[in-house]
Amino acid sequence: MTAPHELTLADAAALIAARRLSPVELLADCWARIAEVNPLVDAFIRMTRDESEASAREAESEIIRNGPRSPLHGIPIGLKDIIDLEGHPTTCHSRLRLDHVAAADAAVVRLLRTAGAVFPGKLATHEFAIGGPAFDLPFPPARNPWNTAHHPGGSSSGSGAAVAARMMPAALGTDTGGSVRHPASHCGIVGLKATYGLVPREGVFPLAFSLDHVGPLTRTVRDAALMLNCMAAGREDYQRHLGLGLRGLRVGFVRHFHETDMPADPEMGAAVEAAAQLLSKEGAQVRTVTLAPLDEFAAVNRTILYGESSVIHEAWLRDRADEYAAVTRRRLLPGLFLPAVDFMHAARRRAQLVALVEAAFGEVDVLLTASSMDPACRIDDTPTVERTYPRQARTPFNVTGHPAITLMAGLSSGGLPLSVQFVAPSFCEAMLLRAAHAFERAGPWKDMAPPLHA
Amino acid sequence: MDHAAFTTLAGAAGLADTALRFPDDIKEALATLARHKANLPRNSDPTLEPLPAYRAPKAHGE
Repeated sequence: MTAPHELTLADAAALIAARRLSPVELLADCWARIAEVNPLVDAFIRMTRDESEASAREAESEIIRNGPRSPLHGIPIGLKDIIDLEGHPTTCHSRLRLDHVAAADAAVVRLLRTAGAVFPGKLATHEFAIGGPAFDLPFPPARNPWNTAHHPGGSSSGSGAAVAARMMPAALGTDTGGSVRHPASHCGIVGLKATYGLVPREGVFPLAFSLDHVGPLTRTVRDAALMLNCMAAGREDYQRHLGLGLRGLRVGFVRHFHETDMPADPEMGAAVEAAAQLLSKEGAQVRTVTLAPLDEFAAVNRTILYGESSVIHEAWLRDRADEYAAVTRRRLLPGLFLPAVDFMHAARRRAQLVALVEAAFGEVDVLLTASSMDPACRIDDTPTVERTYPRQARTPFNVTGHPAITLMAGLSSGGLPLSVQFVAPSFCEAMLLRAAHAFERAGPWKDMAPPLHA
Repeated sequence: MDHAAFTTLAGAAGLADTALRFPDDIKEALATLARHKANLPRNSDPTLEPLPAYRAPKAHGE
């Protein structure tokens, strides 16, 4: 029998609903797994063991009496440590926030708690969701379960590492320039960023107000749909198109992102091309689509991010700059020097970029693009981390707000995950999940797990 | 950039003390902005509106 910590969210929920698995057993097995592998990947900042065990016991008795409230009832879900959990610090992985204690749950945590989820703890992030892997902070950086000498992606690094390492079936991350999808890409799991505004951000420490999204990291696309059902407050059933397959789906392949704008590592490029061929073979109508160059999306994203984050960090950069990690300080300081005219040019170009992507969706149902241009590099190779961090195609959809999902598309010769990204029109998450789910089923990667042992 | 210009710029940004402690970080921030500026499209159409759009206050009770 599969160990409970190995179960996907959907499989665990089915066993819980059938009274064949109790939330207490599931959590206990997750804690055993956490004890075994967290010392290798440093996914946790804070463990809330007693509180989560009490929640699991409550879930167990309620399910025995009345059945589960939802598929998330009794499921352990980790939280990136910029998301408020009542009564616990939200450190943002920073010494500047060590004294902070959340007075209330974030809105998205309230939704999950109402659905019956259990919270085992707070997970590592890049400082304030913008730094990079840093060794001059109060907590160590998370590591990649596929190879612990490597970077797990970020900034939702602990969330990616914890889910990939089978410590819990799902975790929350945040995504301002790709920070849910980056760890999904490097850790070989699924990262979903829904349409801007669909998932509430109240109680989540902001990085850039108009670019920030909260999203789930899961092992499967179905699990992402189950999480979004709750996180979008029951707006619709995002599972409803899973299983419809690819036949007839019109896919726009944004080849220039990885071919000419930012030429991808050969193995990553080949994986993205192979994904397009697989979609075609499975019945999708794949055609090439051209958007604006990646550099342009990135410049707009960065300029807006600098401007919006500057108002959040101004006082600390002035009075307590030495308390940031060096990498975070360097990434935030440009905002304090940004000319207002540049911010406005970015905001005006953003409107045009949204229109450009919307126009593409007049011809196709979803877009296929690269996610990362490179597999994960070594975490201690700072120059390569700095060089490869911006080599990605995720920021365009923070700029435009369209829903996007990243999932595994192969393994490199070095044993590290390769990935692709799908993008859909605004509020068409059901179609996005349909495409990603069909791709996941068509490929051989969904059951691959990192070879991580204590 | 000469030292006087650097100091003036840091002071204007409210970062005079930070510039004393982390001058290299400030120089890197300025270089980063210059790089992004080169990639940022600039449109001369005076009527082009930004996104997010500015919003009027809601009426009472909305």
